[in-house]
Amino acid sequence: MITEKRIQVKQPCLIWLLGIIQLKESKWLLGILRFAFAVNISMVLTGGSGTVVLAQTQNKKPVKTLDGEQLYVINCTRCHTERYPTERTAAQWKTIMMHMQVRANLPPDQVKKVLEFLKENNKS
Amino acid sequence: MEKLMKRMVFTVVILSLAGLCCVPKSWAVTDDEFLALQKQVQEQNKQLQVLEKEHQEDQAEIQSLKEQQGQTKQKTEEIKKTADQAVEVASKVQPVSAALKQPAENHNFVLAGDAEVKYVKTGGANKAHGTFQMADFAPVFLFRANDKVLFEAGFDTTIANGNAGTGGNNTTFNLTFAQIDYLFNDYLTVIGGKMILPLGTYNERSAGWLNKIADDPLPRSLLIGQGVGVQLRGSRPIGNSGQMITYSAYTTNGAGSIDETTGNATTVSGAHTINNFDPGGNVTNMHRRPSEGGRIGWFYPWKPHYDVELGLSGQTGAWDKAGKELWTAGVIDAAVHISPYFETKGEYIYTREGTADFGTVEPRGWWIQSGFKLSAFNWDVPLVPSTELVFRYDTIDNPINPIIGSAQKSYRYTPGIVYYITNTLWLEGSYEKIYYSGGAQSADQWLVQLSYGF
Repeated sequence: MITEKRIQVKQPCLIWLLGIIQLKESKWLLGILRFAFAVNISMVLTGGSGTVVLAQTQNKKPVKTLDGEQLYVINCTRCHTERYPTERTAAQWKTIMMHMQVRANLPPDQVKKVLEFLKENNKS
Repeated sequence: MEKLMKRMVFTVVILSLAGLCCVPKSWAVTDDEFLALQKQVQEQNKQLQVLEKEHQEDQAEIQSLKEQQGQTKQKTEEIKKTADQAVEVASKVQPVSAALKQPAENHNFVLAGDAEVKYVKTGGANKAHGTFQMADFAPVFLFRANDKVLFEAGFDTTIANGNAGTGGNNTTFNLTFAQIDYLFNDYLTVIGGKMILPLGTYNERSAGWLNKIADDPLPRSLLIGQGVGVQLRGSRPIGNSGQMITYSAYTTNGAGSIDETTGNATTVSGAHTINNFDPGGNVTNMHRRPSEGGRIGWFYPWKPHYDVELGLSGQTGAWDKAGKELWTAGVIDAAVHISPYFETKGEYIYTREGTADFGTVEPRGWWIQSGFKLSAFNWDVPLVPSTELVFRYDTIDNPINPIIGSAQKSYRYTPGIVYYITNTLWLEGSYEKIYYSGGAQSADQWLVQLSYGF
C-alpha cells in the first residue's frame, strides 16, 4: 500500500509579486514568482486544500514480534549467566519464571513466551 | 457331404477318447496324498472353530467393558454433581475466588539460591595474614500456590571470621526476604512482607553469587536493603521490540536508629563507636509515619545482547523513634550490554540524613563496574574462553563519618577476573586498592571466592 506525505503550503500573494516584477525585473524575484506560480497550480489541482503532495512512501514493514528464544536472550542473560532449559522440569520453570516476573519486573506475555521456550527445550 | 460330416464327427470322437487315455501320470492323485489333504482340511477346520470361539469370547469381553465404562461414567457424573453441590454450599459460607479453584497440580515448590566461600588477604593499613573469611548458604524457597499467587523467602546463613589476626567469629542467620506476591493483572503485582527494596538494581539483581566481585560497592552501605511493608510493581511493554517501562512503589517501616535517638553515632559495649543509622536491623515500627519509596525504569533492547537500562529510585521517611528526623535517598542506575561479551553498570547514590548532633548530612557515592568476556576473541586455548575480566571503581563521600567524627572520602579500584567453571559455578578473584582522604593510609586486599548458584 502506498501512503502519501502531505504538507500544508501557504499561498503567496501572486498579484503583489507580479506588480514587483513589472517595476523591477530580477532573477530572484522571478524565482519566487515561479515557485508561487507552481504552488498556485498545485493548489488548484488539489482543490484549494493548500496541501502539496511531497512524496509517496512505502508503508513500513510489518513489525516482527520477538519469539521465546529471543526474549530469553534479552531478559535472562542481563543479570546472570545462561540457565539451560534442561536444568529444571516444566513445572519448576513455571514457578521460577513467576519469581523472575516479579523480581525483574517482566511483562507477562514475555514471561509466557520464555516459559514456552524453556518447556520445549527441557526434554522432560 | 453327409459322408464328410459323419467322418468329421467320428474323428472328433476318436481324438477325444485318445486325449482321455493320454492323461499324464503326474495328474493322478494317490490314496496317500488324498488322505493327507483330507487330514489338512480337517485340521484347518478345527483351527477355524477355535478362532471363531476366541472371537466370540472377545466380543463378550468388549461388551462387558462397554457396560463397565458406562457405569464408570455414570459414577463420575454423580461424583461431580456431589462435588459441585459441596462447592456451592461452601461458597455460600465463604466465597472462593476463581484463582483458588484450580487443581492441586498447580502447586509447586522450588528450592533455589546460592552458596559462597571466600578467602581474603589484607594489606596496607589493615595488613594481616590471609584467612578463609566467610562461608555463606543462601537458600531461596519458592512456592507457587496457583497462577496468580507466589510465596517466596530467602535466608542468609553466614559464618564469618573476624578480621585476620583478631579472634572471634560469628554465625548469623538472616531472613533476607519473605513475601507474598499476587499477580493482580498484566501490569500490576501486589507484594506484602519483608521485601528487597528497589533502590537501584544492585540488591535485586546483583547481590550474592550474581556479583562478579566478591564484595559490595562502597556506597551501597548508605542504603536500606530490605523493608517490611507493601509494594505495587509492574511493567508496561512499548511496542514489540522488548522495550518496556518498569515501575514500583512501596511503603515500609523504614530505617531505624540503633539507640533510638538521632545522633549520628552511637557506642556499643561502652566504647566501640558505630554509625547510629541502622539500615536493616530496626524494622519494627514506622516512627509515626511510614517510609515511602519507588523506582521507575526504562529498558530498551535494540537487539538480543544489545540493550540499555536507566532507572531512578528513591525513598524518604523518619528514622528515629520520635519520628522527627528524615532519612531520604535517591539513586540513579544504569546498565548497558554491547554484544554477549561486554557489559557496564553503575549507580549514583545520594542520601540525606537529619541528625541531632551534626545537622543534616549528605553522604553520597557512586560506582561503576564493567566486564569483558574473553570468549569474544575465539582463542583456542585452555581456560581463556571461560574467563571474564572485570573492573570496578567505587567511591563514598561521607561529610561526617560517624566512626571517626569527621569528613572522609574513600575511593577504590578493583580489577578482577571470573572463571566460569560451569554456568553456575564461578571462581572469582580480585585485588582492591582503597584510598582515604585526609592522609589516612591506604589499604588493599586480595579476594578469592567460589560461588555457586542453584
